[in-house]
Amino acid sequence: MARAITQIEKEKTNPVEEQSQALTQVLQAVGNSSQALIILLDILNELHQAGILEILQGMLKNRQQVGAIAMSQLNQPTVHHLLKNGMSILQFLGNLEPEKVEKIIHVITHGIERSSQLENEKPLSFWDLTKMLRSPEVSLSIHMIFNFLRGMGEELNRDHPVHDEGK
Amino acid sequence: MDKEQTFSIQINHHLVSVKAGQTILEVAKLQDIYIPRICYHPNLRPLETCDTCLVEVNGQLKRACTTKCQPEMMIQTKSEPVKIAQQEAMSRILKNHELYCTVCDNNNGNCEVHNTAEYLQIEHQKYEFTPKPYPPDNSHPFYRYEPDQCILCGRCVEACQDLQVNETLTIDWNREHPRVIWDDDVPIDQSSCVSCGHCVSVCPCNALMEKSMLGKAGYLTGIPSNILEPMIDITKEVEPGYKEIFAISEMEAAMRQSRIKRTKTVCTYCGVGCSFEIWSKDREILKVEPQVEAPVNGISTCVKGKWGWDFVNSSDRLSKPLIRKGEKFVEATWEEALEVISRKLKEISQTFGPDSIGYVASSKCSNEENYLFQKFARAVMNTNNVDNCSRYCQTPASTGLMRTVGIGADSGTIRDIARADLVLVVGANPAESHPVLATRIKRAHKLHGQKLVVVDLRLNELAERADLYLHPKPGTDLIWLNAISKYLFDQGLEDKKFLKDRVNGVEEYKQSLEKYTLEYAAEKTGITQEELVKLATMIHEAQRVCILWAMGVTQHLGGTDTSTAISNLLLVTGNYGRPGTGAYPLRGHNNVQGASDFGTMPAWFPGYEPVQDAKVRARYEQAWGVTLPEKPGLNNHQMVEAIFNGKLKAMYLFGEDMAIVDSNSNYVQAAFEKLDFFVVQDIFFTKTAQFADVVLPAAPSLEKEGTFTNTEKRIQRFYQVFEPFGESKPDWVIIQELANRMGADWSYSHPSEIMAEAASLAPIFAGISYERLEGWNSQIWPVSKDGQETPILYTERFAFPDGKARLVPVEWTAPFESGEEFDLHLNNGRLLEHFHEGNMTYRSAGITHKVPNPWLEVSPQLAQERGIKDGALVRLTSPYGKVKVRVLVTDNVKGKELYLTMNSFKDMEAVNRLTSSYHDRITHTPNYKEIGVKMEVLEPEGESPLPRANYRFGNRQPQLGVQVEEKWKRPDWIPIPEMINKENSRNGQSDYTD
Repeated sequence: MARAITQIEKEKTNPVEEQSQALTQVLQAVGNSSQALIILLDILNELHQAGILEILQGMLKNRQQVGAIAMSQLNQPTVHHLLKNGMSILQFLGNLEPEKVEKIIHVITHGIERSSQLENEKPLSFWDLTKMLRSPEVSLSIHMIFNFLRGMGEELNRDHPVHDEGK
Repeated sequence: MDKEQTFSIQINHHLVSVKAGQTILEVAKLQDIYIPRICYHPNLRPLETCDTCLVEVNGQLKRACTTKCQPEMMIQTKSEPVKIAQQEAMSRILKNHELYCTVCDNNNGNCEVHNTAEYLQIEHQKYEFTPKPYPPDNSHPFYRYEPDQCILCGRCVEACQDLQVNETLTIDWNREHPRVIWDDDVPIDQSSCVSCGHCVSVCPCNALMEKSMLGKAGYLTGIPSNILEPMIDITKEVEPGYKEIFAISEMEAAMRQSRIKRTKTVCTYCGVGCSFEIWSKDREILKVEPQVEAPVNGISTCVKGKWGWDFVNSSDRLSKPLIRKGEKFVEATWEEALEVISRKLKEISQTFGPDSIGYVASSKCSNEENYLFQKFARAVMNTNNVDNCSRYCQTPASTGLMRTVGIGADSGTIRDIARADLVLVVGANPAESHPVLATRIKRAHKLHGQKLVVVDLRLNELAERADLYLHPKPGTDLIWLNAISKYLFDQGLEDKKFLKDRVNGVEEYKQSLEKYTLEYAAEKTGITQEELVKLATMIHEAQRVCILWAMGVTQHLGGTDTSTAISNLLLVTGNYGRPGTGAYPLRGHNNVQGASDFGTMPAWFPGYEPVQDAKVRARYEQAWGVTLPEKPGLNNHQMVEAIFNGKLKAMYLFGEDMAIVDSNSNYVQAAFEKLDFFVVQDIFFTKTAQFADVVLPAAPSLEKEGTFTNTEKRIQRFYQVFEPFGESKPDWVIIQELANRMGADWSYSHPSEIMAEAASLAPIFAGISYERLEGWNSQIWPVSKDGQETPILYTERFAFPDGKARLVPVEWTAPFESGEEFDLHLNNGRLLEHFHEGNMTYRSAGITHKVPNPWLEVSPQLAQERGIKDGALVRLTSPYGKVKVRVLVTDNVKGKELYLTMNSFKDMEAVNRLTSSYHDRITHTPNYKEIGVKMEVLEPEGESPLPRANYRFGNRQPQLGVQVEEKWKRPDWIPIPEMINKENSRNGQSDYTD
């Protein structure tokens, strides 16, 4: 005879035993990574001495408020500009072709070198100037500068792309 | 079959061969050419709302999703005009959708909006995003709708209208700001939404989201809104271009992959066999994500499969073995529990013989576990006393089919049901009990002109939609079935060639029909002669007929005979062995087919080979190295009887709440009290477990590997999502550990080894293997050694030695009469939201919110006669017991017929307190559906047992699809080709012709 029963006696969990089991697991893990842990403890100690741990602790404990303050500070026009400019500069650098940049850097370096030899030269007469303009090297440099100006001008004149229409 | 016409077209200057009727998008997909397509979904009809699939066809912009290929077509998918058009389409979408991908829970690598915007290299918002003037709808317990993120693609509407065919969602295109609305614009929770999840699963962005995902899926998505909103503002202000945003969100999506685990599983509820991915994080289920690849359901699910998994992590789960000590159970170690069980079983077996112990298997557990359990009973415990719960439901159907066509299972697949010209549903309520299968019927009926006939006591959902609904008197189905067969013969409308070539016993059968005239049938069934002739004509006129049935047929005194009559009718009309035809007994549990297939039946080895066959026995004896018992064992019903007459002393039962689900539960529970020793293995402390001496904690499907077999005989693998809860263990592990204690020497390390053994022994499973079932693959038995499956049975032969089917004469058995004082007929069964008695589904707060109680359906006539209203409390009394339940007045039921839902495990509400121990004379399946009761009114009105938040109070809005034409009529809509042309001519660069 076995009547339907519903009472269940749960095995009482022994907190002392559970804790000691957990500790054994932790100790095992510590033993397996002792070298790394010793270094980590050293770093922790330095961070503590420097007061950084307390700062982190404070920030984490109050992360909601700190986060909200930080976000409202960040959500300002100046910060928008900073981020935007930062990204524009990165984009600008990204758009330059390294070979060309390298060449221009060479050209400028060489130009700087030549310009540093200026001390020994006599003052420049109008005749010297025309002579210089005729020299292929100077002519080439001036060409380059004018081409640069032309490129800028072209971009200033350029129509806006198609997909901006129809707004 | 029509010979398919093929021709060639050019895509991006490459010659491609295509079949007539294919769309450009389909062909491009086959060629691995990517065309954006946000509103297109392979399980849905094309919607034409997003325009991102515009391509150049002979120089003109056309939608790839609907444009059919024509010979000589020249298609460009990457030209400049295409790019401009697609970008315009995308820009229009982004006007409705704020991109904050990194902090969006839908950023999991599969967001269509994200991926398409990225592919189209959208850099900036062309049209400014403006929020819509509607708040998010968070009213539903499981999902939310956020209008601000909704791109109005209409996938959800199409899925609801034409795939699930629940017809709740529409888009109101005529408002200034269109949005998706539920019913006639009510909160989601108050609508006709059945919580199937289709809309959420097909949403290409985060507008419709599972609430379980919100704030959980991403690394940053849990950020509180006072920090999150300024973050989104900064991103928008700075707007570095979407390229950079996408780069970051992709990184974040990649990081999510390691912490969100995606595991394929097979649903553990009904017999349809839906498969899907479970997305989990630690022990938490983030969502159920169905996939197009799923062979049965694609992206379809129902409320239980999509949301009903909370039971796995319920704190009520059994976590340790329990041993009865005096008046209480005490937690024990596995060692102690198994020791007690093996000692007691040995003692009892030695004292009273092996047949003094009964073994009840589970249709919730895997094929491998059922195989192992019958092996345990037969090989280790030396008895055939092993059965499973199909005894309660479908054994009569199987037996009817074995008699007539040879195999006791569905003769085709769900795809065949969908392509039939006529579907006849008898005594079944698929829209609630097999929801995803029902969607296929509703879709075929709504879109493809399939005819639908329902014969049922209740005006269920399919009955409401049917072309013809017939209401017979309870328990008279055999009569009208036979009458229709007779009418067809009388009119010479039988399939003469089919009968001559493929069927035996025609003449004898014809003669047996003599008394089933239309007059007789009309008198006995209450169906008019005109209706009968109409049905017969419909069956005759349809080229392909499928008949579906379930408990309304089987749970009667004559259940097997009625099932036989159904099969006879299919034979008479030649509806076997062809696509779109056949017999479909709808299996109730996820693995009720597999449990029987793999041998937990008293007379059959795995694969339906008789235990009495010496040759078969020899095969198993050799493989298992034991001598096996020859005599068929006791079935469930006989086991209960044997307890009463003292022959059965002990039972070992797993995964079955027999104390509630067996009929006449007072009687069954009294039997359990008499057992000397009772082992119950389950995931919960069930009613049955309360009678046990030892209770073992088992692990459900998400915590183990295995296979399930669905109603189509399709075997599918499921994979492990979690570790077993507490100290619980998978059933196959428990059975093996116990077997080894009892002297077996088993060493299965994985269920695949068990399947390999079953495949090596049972010829119908010869070619089944875990490798062939990998991932989304499936196999439909019989499977030959080379892996060839059999989706449609009997294409050449029936499963008898001479290959011919048999017409088997059957006579009507009048249903059981409870006596004159029991003046009301009580019908009963499942409902959509809860599975069976609700052991698992009540653990979901959301489901319980939708359906907190069982209820009793009472017809308006009867309610008026007895002076009761919704919420009335009544006591029902049958000769076997009584229950107390609240009333719902509904015209689902007629006259003196009642319907009690079975979603309760409380003694005072459980329907099986009322049912009797009478049963089908052949299979011993209880006659659950034949019970008379009397009704006493305790309170004439009260609180309705069903809350307003239930879909049954909703107000469906049927329409075809999303009605994109309404969108095109809006004054602010300009076709994209037209707009581009205008712009081009304004710019004086009209290099593009219309």
